[in-house]
Amino acid sequence: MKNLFYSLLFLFIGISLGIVWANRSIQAVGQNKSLTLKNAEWSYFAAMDLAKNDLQRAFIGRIGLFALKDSEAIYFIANQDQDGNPLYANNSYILEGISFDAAYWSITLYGEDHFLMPNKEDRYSYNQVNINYNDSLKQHYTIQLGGQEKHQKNYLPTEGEQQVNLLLRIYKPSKALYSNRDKVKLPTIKRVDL
Amino acid sequence: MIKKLTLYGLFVLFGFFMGYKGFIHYYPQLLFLGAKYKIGGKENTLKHAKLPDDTSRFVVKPNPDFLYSTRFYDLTNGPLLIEADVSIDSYWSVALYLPNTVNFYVQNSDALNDDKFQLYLYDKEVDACAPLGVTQIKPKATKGLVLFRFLVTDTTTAAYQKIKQAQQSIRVTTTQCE
Repeated sequence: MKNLFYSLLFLFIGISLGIVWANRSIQAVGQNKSLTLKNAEWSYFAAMDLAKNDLQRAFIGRIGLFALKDSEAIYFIANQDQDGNPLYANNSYILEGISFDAAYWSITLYGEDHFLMPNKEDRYSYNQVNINYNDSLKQHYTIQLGGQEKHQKNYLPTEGEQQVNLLLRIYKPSKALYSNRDKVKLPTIKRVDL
Repeated sequence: MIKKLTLYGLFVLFGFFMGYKGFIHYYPQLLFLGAKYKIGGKENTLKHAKLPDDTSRFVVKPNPDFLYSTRFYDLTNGPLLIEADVSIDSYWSVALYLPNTVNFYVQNSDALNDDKFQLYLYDKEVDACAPLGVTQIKPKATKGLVLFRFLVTDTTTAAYQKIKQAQQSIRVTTTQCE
């Protein structure tokens, strides 16, 4: 009886340690260079092979449940600025980018819990239709992220001090864009004092 | 004593392996069930959501530009016929997910020749009751999720009302093979 008790106890300890380690492994996928690739300050997945890759499926489930196949939509995530520092809600940043050849694209700001953040303008994102472009060809745009006052036409206000992240969604991307995710010009994210 | 310690060590190792592999494998299923519970999506109940905002806490990373409609399905009671009148110019898509959260099928606004969308989901090896000319899908699992996305880029125009009408037009019917 005593032996059975100890056997079950050590099995339970092993299972608990395994779950803790698995949780760490899921969290570390974002830093795993074989699964997560980089294009400047943005991260993306080389292939969304969720049917075969348990670890990638668990990670995507945590940060973006019910993502679409990459033939339909591609996603880029930024949680750091161009100097490699984490993005914080109490800092100010300027994003400068160009439009994408796709059916639809958008840039959305999320809190550390991966949900939309409350803000004074109820503004959570910009897309290719509602963004204000800098030129008549509708190619270049500038977005202000954070800061007490609005200095740019495109303004994503933030509140609090938490770490934040940006998600760039590109739906039905052109073939050139789809096959050049490592080279496509993505918005720069520069920390500024506003 | 050494024998006993070795045995206990093996129990720890075996437990670690089970815990590690099991958690990573079944974690997405837990997230799927969690989302189902939060959305309040009882099986075979269609749910239409409003445009997401900071109070939307059902599924992580909601897109504030999308009207979502969900239906958690169970094919054990018969095949499902999914229909919608989608006479809108903006992007929309319907995606099917397995209980492990894998998106195994997606169709978007480009793939439709007319304004009527129809999709037939079935569970049997051969389904002779499928309506003619309707795309037929046999998922790998009897349970799963149908997720509609309707793009809204401007809520002030008449186009928004049309998109909402398209969302409300979704019908998911359990059919019986006679």
